[in-house]
Amino acid sequence: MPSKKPRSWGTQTILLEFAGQQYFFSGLTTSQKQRLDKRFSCVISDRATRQVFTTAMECGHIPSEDPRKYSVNDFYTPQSRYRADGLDLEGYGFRATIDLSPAAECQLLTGDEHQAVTPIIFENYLRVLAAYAALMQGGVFLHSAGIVFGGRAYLFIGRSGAGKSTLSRLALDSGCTILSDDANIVLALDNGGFQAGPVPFAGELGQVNTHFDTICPVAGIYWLEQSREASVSQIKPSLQTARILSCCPVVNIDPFRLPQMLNNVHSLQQAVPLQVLHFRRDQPFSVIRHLLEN
Amino acid sequence: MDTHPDALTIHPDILFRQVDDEGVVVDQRQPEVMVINGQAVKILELIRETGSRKEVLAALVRTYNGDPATITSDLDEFLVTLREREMLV
Repeated sequence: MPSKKPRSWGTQTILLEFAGQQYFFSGLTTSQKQRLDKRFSCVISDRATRQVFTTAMECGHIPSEDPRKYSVNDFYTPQSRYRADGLDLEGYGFRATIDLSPAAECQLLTGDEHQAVTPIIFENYLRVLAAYAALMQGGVFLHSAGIVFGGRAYLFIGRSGAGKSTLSRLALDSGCTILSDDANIVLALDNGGFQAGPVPFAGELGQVNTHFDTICPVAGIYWLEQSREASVSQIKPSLQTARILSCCPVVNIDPFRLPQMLNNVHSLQQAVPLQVLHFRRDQPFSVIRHLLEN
Repeated sequence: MDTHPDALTIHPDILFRQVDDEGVVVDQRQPEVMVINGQAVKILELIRETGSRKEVLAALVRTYNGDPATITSDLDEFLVTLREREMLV
């Protein structure tokens, strides 16, 4: 018996724009669109002006599964199957096909109208698209905290629990702008530098940045280490590469795109070498800011 | 008599790249990113280029101009590590 062809949920569309890339979603119901309009209100665009990632939202049968099927080290991790021209994603309640060919259309297949636009499906899917969009623009999607002061962006990476959200909260309380306390997109500039801008992804701190026109040159990238005293130290280039790469989710294990990823990481660390920030969690942010600015 | 197998092939899920005087290895099966020293990068490059322990050894002896017995011992020790980590197929 032939399998049923997936069909669209509805006829509504939405266009999102952030970090130099646009993402178009078709096949939404009115209810789904309303939810996405509300969740992503800061990044909705009304006009396609550049290359767009297009996704058809489709409705179909997804077998009920134990969510633990997608757990790796206690973290929810959709399974990826990589291809030369893209990848297939499989996660709790969804299947997706991402085609990276020019002008190609991607598909996000779900079995529940409400669940399709929840963070665990829609936002995680959007994160994957954003990671590939960054790669294709010579940049990286970095699991990091992004903090702006003095008109420049400072990115902080580290192991889980290293203090990204703590540092972001301290910075926010001291009046700094937070790009995201969880994931940031870093893109190459024509002058050899790199820039970072807000993304609609947040960690523990929530979506605290509502000014999505803030694009800042990246002044520093720091690996977080807790210590009694605040200081900055240098590390060897190979360790910089390893640490930055370990913070570039999804794409860093894509065998077809990893060489490009390594090139992008290399360019980034040439322009902005990764350093180590030793800090204490209860330190006033002014101490850290002074250290980084001087 | 040399009992070491000559054919060497790096597992397709292992990628490596020289970075300055060291290198990084990405094991996509874990996934895991490791830092390796310059000699290890050189050996991995030679394995990729020649696929032969004898040719890797000959190239290392030419490059480092050291005691062949020591170089052989160091190479075989490194190959054991690669096999233990299933980085060779």
